[in-house]
Amino acid sequence: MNLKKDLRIKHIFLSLLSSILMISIVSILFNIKTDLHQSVGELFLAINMETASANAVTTVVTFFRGLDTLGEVTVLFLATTGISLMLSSAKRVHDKVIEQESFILNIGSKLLLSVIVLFGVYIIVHGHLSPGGGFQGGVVIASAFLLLFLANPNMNLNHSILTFGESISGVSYVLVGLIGLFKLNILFGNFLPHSISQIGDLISGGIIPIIYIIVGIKVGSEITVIIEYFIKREAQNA
Amino acid sequence: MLEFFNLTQTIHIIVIVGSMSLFTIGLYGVFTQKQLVKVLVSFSMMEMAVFLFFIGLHYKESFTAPILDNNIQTFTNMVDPVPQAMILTTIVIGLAILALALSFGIEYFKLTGTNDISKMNELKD
Repeated sequence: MNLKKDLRIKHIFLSLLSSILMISIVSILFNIKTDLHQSVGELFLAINMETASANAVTTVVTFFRGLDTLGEVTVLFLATTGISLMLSSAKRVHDKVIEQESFILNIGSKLLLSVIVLFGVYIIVHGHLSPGGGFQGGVVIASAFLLLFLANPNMNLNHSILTFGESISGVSYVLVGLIGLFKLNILFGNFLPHSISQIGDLISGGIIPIIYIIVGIKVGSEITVIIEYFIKREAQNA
Repeated sequence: MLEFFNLTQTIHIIVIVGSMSLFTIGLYGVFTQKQLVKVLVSFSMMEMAVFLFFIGLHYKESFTAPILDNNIQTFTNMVDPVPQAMILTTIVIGLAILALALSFGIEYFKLTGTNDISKMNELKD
């Protein structure tokens, strides 16, 4: 009884502390008079037409800040490596047969797989024309494989294909940057033809769609690997 | 009447109060929850609050998304693309870090059989 009372007082105290923190943060934010409109984004928008990409966010991610995106993809790769190190230490459940799911679930998930993967590829390829791109499309493709794993727990993916996609996309990302360095003396320079008259076409923008396709392959395969480790892990514990 | 909600000031007030409320809920979760997974979800909520804050604070009245289409042919009167690009990468990083932390939590539970952060005192001995 005494313990319960203690806990309640602690909760009330902590919620009060959180509220005080929130009120102070909000009052600080309301009193900021800085003009947010003077920023580097104005400069990026002013020179964005030269890159012949219709989506300015894509241009910033893959071209103006291409090196940062390479670092970000590296962080994703390291996280995947850590997860595989942590979760693959125990023996896997290859031979353990889990109860077979129903026929409709099995076939329906395989039918939906192709549609979802097609939608993901559409999002990746149109990344420089419409909202979307490599990160979003890669996650959509990984969600298709999540559906497949949920419908059929016995399924095993071919790891060599996943590893190949992951490594070939990483290597080609660096290669695209290095070719730009050698041809134009700029890392991630746009060495492919990109004329402004082509803006809005599917093939436009030089290396921008190529980099986003590479990012899409990498994110899709890595998140699929993460999902597979977690799902197999759960199947083993059950 | 509804024009009032399109004003930049109104949107900024809503974004600041809403995202900081979400941040506070996450902070309260970090303070009070005992389960490791709940603490990680609370951290994720705080992360989401910061994302909402960054994106929402760059709303400007009568400005469009930084994408060309059939009606908009020049890159003028568009919102800043830099915070959107930054948050786009940060969301993926947050996902990867959350997955890594959850895998650590799973391994910890497998080794010690407990998920309670008040009982995690291995470093004390």
